[in-house]
Formats: sequence, C-alpha cells, structure tokens
Amino acid sequence: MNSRTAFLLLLIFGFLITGLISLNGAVIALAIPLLVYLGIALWYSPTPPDLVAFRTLPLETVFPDTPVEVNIFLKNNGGDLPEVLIEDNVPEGLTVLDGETSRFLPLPAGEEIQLSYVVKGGRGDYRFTTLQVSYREGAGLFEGKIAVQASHRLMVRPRPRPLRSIPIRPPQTRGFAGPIPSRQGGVGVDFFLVREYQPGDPMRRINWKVTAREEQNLFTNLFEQQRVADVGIILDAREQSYGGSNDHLLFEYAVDAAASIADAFLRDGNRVGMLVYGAGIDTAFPGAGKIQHQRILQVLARAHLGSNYALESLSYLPTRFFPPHSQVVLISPLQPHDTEILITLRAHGYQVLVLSPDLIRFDAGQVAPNSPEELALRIALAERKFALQKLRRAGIQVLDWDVTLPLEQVVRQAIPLRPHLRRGMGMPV
Amino acid sequence: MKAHHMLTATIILTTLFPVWGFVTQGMYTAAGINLALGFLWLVLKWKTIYWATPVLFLIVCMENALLPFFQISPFLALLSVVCGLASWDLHAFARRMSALKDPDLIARFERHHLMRLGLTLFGGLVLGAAGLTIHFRLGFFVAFLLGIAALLAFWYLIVQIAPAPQRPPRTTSFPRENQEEE
Repeated sequence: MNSRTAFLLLLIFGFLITGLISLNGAVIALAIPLLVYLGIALWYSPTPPDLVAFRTLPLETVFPDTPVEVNIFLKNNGGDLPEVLIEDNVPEGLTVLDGETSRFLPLPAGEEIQLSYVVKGGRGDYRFTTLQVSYREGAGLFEGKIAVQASHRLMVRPRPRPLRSIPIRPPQTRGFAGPIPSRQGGVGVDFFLVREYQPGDPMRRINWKVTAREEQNLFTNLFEQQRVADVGIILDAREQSYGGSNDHLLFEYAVDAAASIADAFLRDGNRVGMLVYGAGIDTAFPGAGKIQHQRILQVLARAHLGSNYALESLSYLPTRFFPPHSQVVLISPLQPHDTEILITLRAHGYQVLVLSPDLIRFDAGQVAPNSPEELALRIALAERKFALQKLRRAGIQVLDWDVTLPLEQVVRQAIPLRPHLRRGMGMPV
Repeated sequence: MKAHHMLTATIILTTLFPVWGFVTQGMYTAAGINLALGFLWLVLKWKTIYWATPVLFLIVCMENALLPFFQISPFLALLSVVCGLASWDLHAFARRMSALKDPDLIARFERHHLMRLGLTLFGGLVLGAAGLTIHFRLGFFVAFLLGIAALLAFWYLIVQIAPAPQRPPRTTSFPRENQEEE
C-alpha cells in the first residue's frame, strides 16, 4: 500500500465515520466516488510483470576515459503494463556522457524496448547487475518494483606507458633464450670467459691472442648466454603506505608503473607474475605472453587501496609465490619498517628492485621557504633518503621516483642499459 | 499539456461548488474563505508545491462533509468531492509526466489516463447521486447484515492492497558475441 492509497482510505473512512456518527446518509454518499476510484484502481492493479532483459557492450575491456556504449534490451513477456519506470543501476565510478539510464513508458505485452547510454570511467572493474523496474496502474495507487537481471562486466584497465627493456640480473634464469645474462657460457653477445678449444667450437670463436701464447693448445672465447627469467611484481596497495588515504592519486601512478614494468618484462619474453598486496592479496600467477599481459592488466584494474590488519606488514608477503632466486620488483612508497623485510628477502636469494614513488614530495606540494613545514619536509626527505640508502647497501636496486618525472627517465638514470644495447639504440656508450 | 489545463479547471470547480452553496445560504464569509482557499490552491499549484494538493483536497473533503449540516445541497458537496478527486489524480499524473520529454508519449499517456479518469469519475458521480436520491427503509436485521458485509468487504479490500511478496530477479545468459579485446 503506498501513501496515495492510504490517503484515499483515510478519506473514505472519514466520510463513513462522520456519516455514521451524525446519522447522515448524504455524508456517507460522498465516499462513493472515492470507493469507485479505489475499486477501479484495484481491478486494474498490475501483477508482477514477466520481463526479460539483456545487456550488450561493444567492448568489455577498455582503457581509462574511453566512452563505451551500453545497450539494454527489455522484453515484456507478460501482460500489458500501463506505466513502467525502468531504471538502470550504473556502477559507482562511471559517468554517463550521453543517453538515458531510465525511461518511463507504457509497455504493452510482447513489446521490446532498448535503452542506450554512453559511459566512461577511471580504472576499475565495474559490474552491471540489475535493472529496477517499477510498475503501476494508471491511478498510481497500486505499484510494485522488481529487479530484472541484466549482468555485464566492464573492465577499465590501466594504460601501460612505453618503457624500454629494463636490464635485470637475477641469480637464476630459465631455459629459453631472452635478454637476461644467465651467468653461463654459450651463445650470446657479452664476453664471458676463455676456455680450451673443444671439438665442434666454431673457428671464428678461437681467441688467437691467447692461443699465440701457448704452444699446443687452442683457446675459444665463450659468451654469456642470455635467457629469460621469472619476474614477480608486487604492488603495494596498503592504505598506510599512502598516508592512510584510500583514494590517493599516487596509487594511480603506482598502478600505471606496475602495468608499464610488466609490459616491458613480458615484451622481453620473461615469465611475469603480479601480486597486489593491500586489503587482500590479488594475484596473477607467473606466465608469459599476451594472455598473461591481459591477466596482469585485469588484476591491476581491480587493484584498490585498502587496509587489512593481517597484511599491515610486508613480513606476511607470500614469497613462495615467486620462484627461488628470481627477480622481485616492489612498487611501493615504502613504510619505515619495510626496509628490514626487503633486506631479508634479498638475503633469501631474490634479486630485489624497488620502485618507490615519492609520497613525501607528492603530498608536500609547494612549501614556503623558511617555514616550519619546510623543516618538516627536509627531515622527512632525509629519513626517506636514509632508508633508501640502507636498501642500496643491502644490494637492493632502488629507484626513487619523483612522479613529476617520466618513469622511463627515472629507470634509465638508475639502471643504465648495457653497452651493446646502448649502441643498438644509437646512444653514447 | 491537456492535463495541466484540466487540473486548473477542476481546482476552480472544486472551490466554486461549495462557494455557490454558501452564497445560496447567505454565508458570505464562508464563501470568501472558500474562494481564498481556491486561490491559494491555484498559486501553490503554479509554484509546483507538490504537498499542497493532497492537503487542500483533505480540507475540501472535510468542508464538503460539513455542507449537509448547513442545509446546503449534498449534490454540490458530491460535485465538489468528484472535482477534488480529479484534481488530486491529475496533480499526481502531471507530476509523473513531468519526467517525460517526448510529446507523442505524453499525448499517448494523457489520452489513456483522461479517458479512464473520466469514466471512473462519471461512474462515481452517478453512483453517488443515486446514493443521495434513492431512499428506502431496511429492517434492523437486514441493515445489520449489510453492515457486516460492508465491513468484510472493506477488510478484503485492505488484504488485497497489502503488498505481495516480490519475485526473485530472472536470470539471463550473458551475450558473449561482439566482445573483443581493445
């Protein structure tokens, strides 16, 4: 019973009671038009409609701020509906650019309607679920509401920035050829060692200078084999790492960086795994190729800042996720107690690379000179510098990233390309 | 929009019928108050204050229930109640239509709604007039039985109005064609 029906019943009761108390039939007769109105509305009161809907999106996976057209088709398989209000539940975070998300119309039996609108949104995993359909008879006294399922998913993935090959040197590589020096002699580009000639060695590999010093033996140059490696990327999504905020803009930079780094390693043929560590643990198990690239971008699309008491410290990091002696890349603004855990990880034999977006500079903005804030900023920066220095001393590669600079520039400054790659790119050696 | 003009007309008529009754009985102050009330109703409607119409319809109904006690014709009260009911209905209808932009769809809704409302009000008016005109005596026992039947009918009405349990949403399969990676 809605408020209009209650109001009408109140009036009818009012007339009846007044008429009965005053023993005046004329007053009771005034209730008759209202009773007729209510009776006809009751006669036409709608039954729950039999509606079927489905939704189509031309693209299921897009980059941020790409307009996507959502089409909904709704068919009435039941009886006539004089007044229907169809409202779509647009997931939070999507902006409607054009079209209509709701429509009010009569829906005769067997008729099909289409609802179209265009949305765009930032990075995220958006799930369209149901349409809310409100139906009522013409007087609006009797109405109902049902949810009609029309599910779909729209994934807005981060856009990887172009990043050239990142030189890494993990202790252990895999069997397939790739760009990473494997610490084993064989076919490669970089000189590795000289050993005695063995039958089958090509003549062009003979080191004639060393051979000339010996009377009987020949010596062959060996080059360092280049292989692919296992790379595990950890994206820190703990709220505490971003100043306790759950929608810090710096996290978007971190996500984009994770996508770019994963893209660069996958392009080189490496096996790459992704682990987002925050409110929970979201993973893409290590793999290679384009499908793995999609998996990683899906994990990054879902990534959001969160807080979990069980995951406050990196000490609960599931290191078994990464193969032993593999390359681990951590993308995190870093918390004070993280350094010890990273040093332990390094001691366990992992090659660790830390990309640390600078939260302090990002949040500080423009600080007035000679102000107390400037002093606080200097102390905070010194603390950060000290923590990063401590990591470097433990053999961890650290990239201190001021996000105003492009990631490519920061990576190139901290990890220069190997000479033959620089030559290949026409850069000074 | 036809419904808006009809709403204005019904508000005026709702007010004028009791005014006529008061004037015929020489109760000019009450007629003046009634006119002021009608004017207020029109102003509030013009200002699109949505709570005004139900409140003023309630006041009009209370006033019309009192008219027979002042020896004013109950037919005028009946006409005023019918017009008030039309105002209350058209007001809600106009409010629902305000969300629409398509003139063809509005015209379609209006045609259907006005036709049904007209028939309903005519039926109510005829039955109400019959109720005022036809008088007959009933024995106590018959009147008692009719009273019990009326109570049962009213109880049945309220049971019918009570909300029915909602059905769970229907599931549909996801269309997978036309979905490709960017």
